[in-house]
Amino acid sequence: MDTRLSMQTIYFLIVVAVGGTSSITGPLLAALLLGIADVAGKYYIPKLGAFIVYGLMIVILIWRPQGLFVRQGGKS
Amino acid sequence: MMTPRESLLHSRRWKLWEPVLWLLALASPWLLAKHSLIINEIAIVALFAVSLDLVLGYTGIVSLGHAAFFGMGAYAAALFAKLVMPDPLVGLLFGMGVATLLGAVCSFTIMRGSDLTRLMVTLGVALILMELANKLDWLTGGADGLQGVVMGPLLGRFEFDLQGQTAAWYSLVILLLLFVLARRLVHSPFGATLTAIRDNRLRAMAIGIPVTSRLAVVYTVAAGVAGAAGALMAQTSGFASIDVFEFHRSADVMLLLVIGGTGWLYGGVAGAVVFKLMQDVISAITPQYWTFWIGLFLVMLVLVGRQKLLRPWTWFSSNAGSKS
Repeated sequence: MDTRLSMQTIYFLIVVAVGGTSSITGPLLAALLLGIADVAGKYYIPKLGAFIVYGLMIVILIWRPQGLFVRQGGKS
Repeated sequence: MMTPRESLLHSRRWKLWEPVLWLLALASPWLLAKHSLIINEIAIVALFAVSLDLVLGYTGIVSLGHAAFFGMGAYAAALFAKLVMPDPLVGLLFGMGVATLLGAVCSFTIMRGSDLTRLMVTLGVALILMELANKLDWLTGGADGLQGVVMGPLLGRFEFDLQGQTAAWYSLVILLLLFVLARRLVHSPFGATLTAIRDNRLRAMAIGIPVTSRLAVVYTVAAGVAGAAGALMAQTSGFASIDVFEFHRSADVMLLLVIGGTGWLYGGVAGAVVFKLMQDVISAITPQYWTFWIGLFLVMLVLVGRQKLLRPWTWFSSNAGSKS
């Protein structure tokens, strides 16, 4: 339904933002990382639920604003 | 010729049509008493859009998570009314205060990175708050929403009625007050530095504008205004649910600004009026497919351009002179 669809779009955006927009392998690695973190989080700490993906994204983006897997440190 | 000082002062002077517009707006709950509910809704959404315009239009910070402050204001006001005291004005101030605090904390997250980074961080904050509101069900009622909010009479005299007339006036007056404050803010020297940061951040930094603190201040102020909009919504509807943090709320208010135009405080108000009326009329005609028509309208608006869409007489002339 409507909300599910927008949730998927949000997940894609999260992956791309975390991986960095300058390469193709970046989002791929970010997708693996976030996917594993999400499922592992939901499995081991079910109470936290969706917090893990969002929290991880915010922490990573504050730490590396240009994304995780960019060649040089970003010039903001 | 005008000196620079005169032209700066000219742009901030109140135009003749502005008081007329506001008088009409304040008279509207009385003239159109049957439509008070939608007038109330338009005023709230317009206030929310003005808040986003401060951030997006004047300072150039893109944000897809403005609902975080809206929702925070809504929950704070509703909880305040339920647990502490039912007076609307004190509750409004409390909601604004809590949202302002949240804005001050969140302003650290928008300092670095590209537009995409800011988009995602602001969105993430709103989503985390939504999850929090969902999980803390002993406080917020979880997915059922916060029920049993009873508001006291406004100023101790005016009861909120079912017709929504009091509510509409309340929202319009608060909108007017905060609009005047925002107008004062963006036409002050402080507002000029915000525009400078939007246009060229590096150059603004080079001429000695404290970019970081300016961004933090405007983000905090805008958060407070958004919190006021949320508090108004919770108070006039007597209800707060996790819907206030939803993604579509942040997206809708951005659409409003696209419709009305950014970097212009009336843009948010105009966008709110157009969007809400369109939503109301179209969903009355086709309850199922109204999003299609709104979507089509938005695509047309962006493809053709607002300038051209508002001037039908230029549609069929040769586009030699006009390019917009």
